[in-house]
Amino acid sequence: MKLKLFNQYVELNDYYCHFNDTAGRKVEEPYINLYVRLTDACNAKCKFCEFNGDDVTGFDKYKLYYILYTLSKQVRINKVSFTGGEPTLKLNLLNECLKTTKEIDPNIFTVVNTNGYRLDKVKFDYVDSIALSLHSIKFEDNYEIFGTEQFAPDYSIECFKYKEKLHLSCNLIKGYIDSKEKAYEYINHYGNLGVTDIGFVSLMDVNQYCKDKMIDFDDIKLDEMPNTIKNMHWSKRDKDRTLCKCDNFLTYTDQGNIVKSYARYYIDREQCKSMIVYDIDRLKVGFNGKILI
Amino acid sequence: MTLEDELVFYIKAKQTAALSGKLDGFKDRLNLLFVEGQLSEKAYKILKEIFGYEEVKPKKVVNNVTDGCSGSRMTYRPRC
Repeated sequence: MKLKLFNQYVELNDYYCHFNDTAGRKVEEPYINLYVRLTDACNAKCKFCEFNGDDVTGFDKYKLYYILYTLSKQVRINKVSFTGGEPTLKLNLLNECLKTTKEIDPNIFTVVNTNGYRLDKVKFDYVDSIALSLHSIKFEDNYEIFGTEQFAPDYSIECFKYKEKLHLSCNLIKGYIDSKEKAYEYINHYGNLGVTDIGFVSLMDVNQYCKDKMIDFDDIKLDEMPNTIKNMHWSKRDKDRTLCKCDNFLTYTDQGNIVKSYARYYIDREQCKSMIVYDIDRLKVGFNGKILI
Repeated sequence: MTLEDELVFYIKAKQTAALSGKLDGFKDRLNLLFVEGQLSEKAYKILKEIFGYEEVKPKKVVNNVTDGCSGSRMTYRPRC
């Protein structure tokens, strides 16, 4: 379906993802997911990421509030994800934007995508989910991947007060988490620290590093991890082409903690409809699409 | 995944938790997974009988939800 937003037509999802090989249900109420890039800057220098530059352009928060308010009158805003760069580098701005988002519509699901740099300073009252990047269980591996030691250490996860909001995001990278055995070790390690929600994501094809280090989760057979069941499978298709696929698993650790996880592979993220991006001072369709306002 | 796979998974998880002395919270975790739609209604009914747990009424019908993904407690929300 198409919806006119800021005088331009934007394509939104007509159907939800295919679920366990049955056709996805029709979307009754049109929705969007909004990604807000607060800054280009990042304390880390991950080789798989495009967004680790300098903080050149100022973030226009009033424009964001106008957009949020206007969109909320036109379409259901399902989710707002604050990302970057590293959004906690702009801590006051992040907290203000989170608060304002909830004031505009408390039903919006708010997510902060972070490497954990200043995690303890985020105002969690306005956050529904913290997507915390950690790509290994080993300090030295994470240090190598992030290019800094400013990521969340184990003790901060173990002591984290809002574990029910915590989601760990782990990129599948050759040489790091690249097999079912290592994926299980990761689940077991963080599951025993009290994490119950983990996502494994295949690298998107954005540069040569990603091409060289990419692992398709289908190839490493995560459903064969020990103590694991695959309980759901999702996919998004366009005619004969798969655009995105997700497998969902449940695993119990060696202490009996049940952890849910998913593995996701965006084959073509730009084809994901209903994704709008507020990129510092411009609203766009997807991360690289046309500018709306 | 069959019903049997699902039941065996939870029974073994509970045994492992018991052996580790980590049974506190297992019941709540099971109930939450049901409410989130991760655990099927059929398996949940059998498990609560086996484990002697009382039933939790989910706020919405969650079995076979087609509009959610796991993670981030977003069962009723499309992730993408």
